[in-house]
Amino acid sequence: QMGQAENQVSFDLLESYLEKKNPEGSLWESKGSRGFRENALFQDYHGLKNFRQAMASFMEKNRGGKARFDPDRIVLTAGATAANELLTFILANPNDALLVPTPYYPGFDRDLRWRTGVRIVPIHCDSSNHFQITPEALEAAYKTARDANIRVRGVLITNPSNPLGATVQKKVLEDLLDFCVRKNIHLVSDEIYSGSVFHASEFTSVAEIVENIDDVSVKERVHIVYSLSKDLGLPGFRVGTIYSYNDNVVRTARRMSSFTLVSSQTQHMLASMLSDEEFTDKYIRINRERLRRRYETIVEGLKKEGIECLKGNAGLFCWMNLGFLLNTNTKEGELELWDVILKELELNISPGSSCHCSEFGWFRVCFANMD
Amino acid sequence: QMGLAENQLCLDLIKEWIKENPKASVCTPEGVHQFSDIANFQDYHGLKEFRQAIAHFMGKARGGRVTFDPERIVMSGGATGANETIMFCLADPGDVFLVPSPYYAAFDRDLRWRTGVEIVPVHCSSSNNFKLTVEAVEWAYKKAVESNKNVKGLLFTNPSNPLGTILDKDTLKNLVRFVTKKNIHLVVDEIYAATVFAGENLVSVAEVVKDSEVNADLIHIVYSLSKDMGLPGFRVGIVYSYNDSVVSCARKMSSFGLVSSQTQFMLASMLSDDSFVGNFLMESSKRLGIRHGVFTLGLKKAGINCLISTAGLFVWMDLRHLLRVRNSFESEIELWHIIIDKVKLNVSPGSSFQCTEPGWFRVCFANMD
Repeated sequence: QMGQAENQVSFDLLESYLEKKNPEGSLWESKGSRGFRENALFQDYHGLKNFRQAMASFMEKNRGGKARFDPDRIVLTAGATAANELLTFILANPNDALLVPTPYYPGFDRDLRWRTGVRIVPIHCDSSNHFQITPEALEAAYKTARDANIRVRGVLITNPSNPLGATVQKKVLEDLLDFCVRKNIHLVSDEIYSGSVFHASEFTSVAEIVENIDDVSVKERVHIVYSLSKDLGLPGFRVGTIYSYNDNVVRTARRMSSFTLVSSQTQHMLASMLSDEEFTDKYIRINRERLRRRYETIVEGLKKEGIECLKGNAGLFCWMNLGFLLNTNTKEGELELWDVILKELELNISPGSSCHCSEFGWFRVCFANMD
Repeated sequence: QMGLAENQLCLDLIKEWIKENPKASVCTPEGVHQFSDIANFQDYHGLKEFRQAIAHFMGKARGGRVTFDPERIVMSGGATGANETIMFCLADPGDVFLVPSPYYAAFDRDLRWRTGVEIVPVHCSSSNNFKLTVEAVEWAYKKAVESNKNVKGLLFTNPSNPLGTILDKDTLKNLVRFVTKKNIHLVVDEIYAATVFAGENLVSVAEVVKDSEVNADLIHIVYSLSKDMGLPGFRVGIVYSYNDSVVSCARKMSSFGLVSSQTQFMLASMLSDDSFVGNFLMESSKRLGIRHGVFTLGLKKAGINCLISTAGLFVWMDLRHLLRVRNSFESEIELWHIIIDKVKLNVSPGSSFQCTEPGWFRVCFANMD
């Protein structure tokens, strides 16, 4: 089962924390019924203050303290799925476009487009430079949209990238922000895998770039999406956030979050867990370490079979090149090969074409979702 | 604080159950062995046990007069999410839904904001105690169609917010026949189903859907645990549709507002506990009835009448005689400010519910000690 990007490597750390600290029990043991009652009634779209503070703190730790997060700019949503859709509703109108670098998370086709009516125009990236975004590719995508009379509202990237399993270089981020300023559009950075970078120093969050900018008109274009689904392996709990440097966006997103709030029961439990600095420091460190080891094992194993992967440094998967095994260098060829792998090898991996990759033969293999 | 329609009367019962059942939490030492499976579970079908427990609870909340199919239970981010989702499923931007007024103020946001759907109110008046009639719906439908609007359906809350009244069986049946005849949808928000504390039982639309003259594909129910159980923080919204395509579509859309698996797991356990549920529903109804009685009596002593109601967490108070200028919404707002500032009671003015007659106010009675 290597198709699903789940993180199951560090559940033991979470479980032992819960056993020892019993954060949920404390809610019901509370004197009188105030604790439980307040929590059960709490549906304020601002979210529990101590939970937002805990999230801000956790996000800072994931970035090695290189950026600060203001809890009042954190808007909670039921998962990154909802966060991405919500931001799209706010930043774009039906028939407008977001530019998204390929290959990208297949879920974006639904999350960004379905109910919003917004389009995705791809920024084509290829293996010649490790699939990094180039200024030429950006301009080309923008022109494609303009030629079709489509209004571009922003660029949306995932950093670290899904499916590449690699961080976006600092220079590329700076170029991206410049591009967005020049075109007067937004920049959304989905940093859902920020805690899954093997070596913390290799990750530059767009937040770090923004820290050093004073010009509000530049900062206001930047929005970050985060979630606990990957870093903490808690996709079931539906904890997503939008972090925006734009006051209007924060205000509107907060109101819109009414459609998709995080369960107060979950907020309370996680507020406890994520404010426990000893726990989070340990968790982040060990989680990174285990993911790195898994990654290295799998890449080594594949290498022995003559299979190369893109050099990755983050995420729950690696980007494997099986181009040399294709019968024909086409999408059909890739899907044929995929079929064989699914049926004969019984390995559930994801074909690059489902991620809109412009080169055929690449596959995403997840390594963090089984023992 | 009588502005918020919360149900705080039975949280003690819930808290006690939770304390006695630590295994229902995946975050306690007793339940943590289930943690990783539950934390990892993000399937938009929802936990099977959760759907079964909800279907079971919904049936019990309707006195066992109907049963619900767990396979038709779809999650959403509270009833707020459910109402929006059903609009996305049934209507396009510019389409119209008829909604009897006075109606829950947030419908203007929930049904319209991101969906682009329009609300055309079906005005109800005090002349017949704000009762919804088929004639009124027919008239509103006719007018809307004449103005070239594309009417997709009728949506109403039963028991009613803000009225606290329930729809009689005959009117419900006739409304269901009407929508079938016109081939438009019917969405009934039954979020206050278990808040009936006196008089006739609620007739859920689920009870009339089996009639031969009804096209079940047009019938949809919105539900939630926010009012009946007093758990708005847990964001448990449900879309229940008799239409397979709508179930399928709503289920895919539920990805944007799933219920936390931690919460699903706990509620699955709690709501399958028959003795707890039975006792809870009975106690809740009783306590609401007592509160309602004390409240309306007190108001009566002060010369204030309320619309006769047998459900809900609020009463619809008649302050028309206190308006400085009769029939004036300006006076209503003036009076509202006085009540808020001088009497320090947070009540909601009728105009915020699109009521066409000035002077009515909604007062909640279940939200404090």
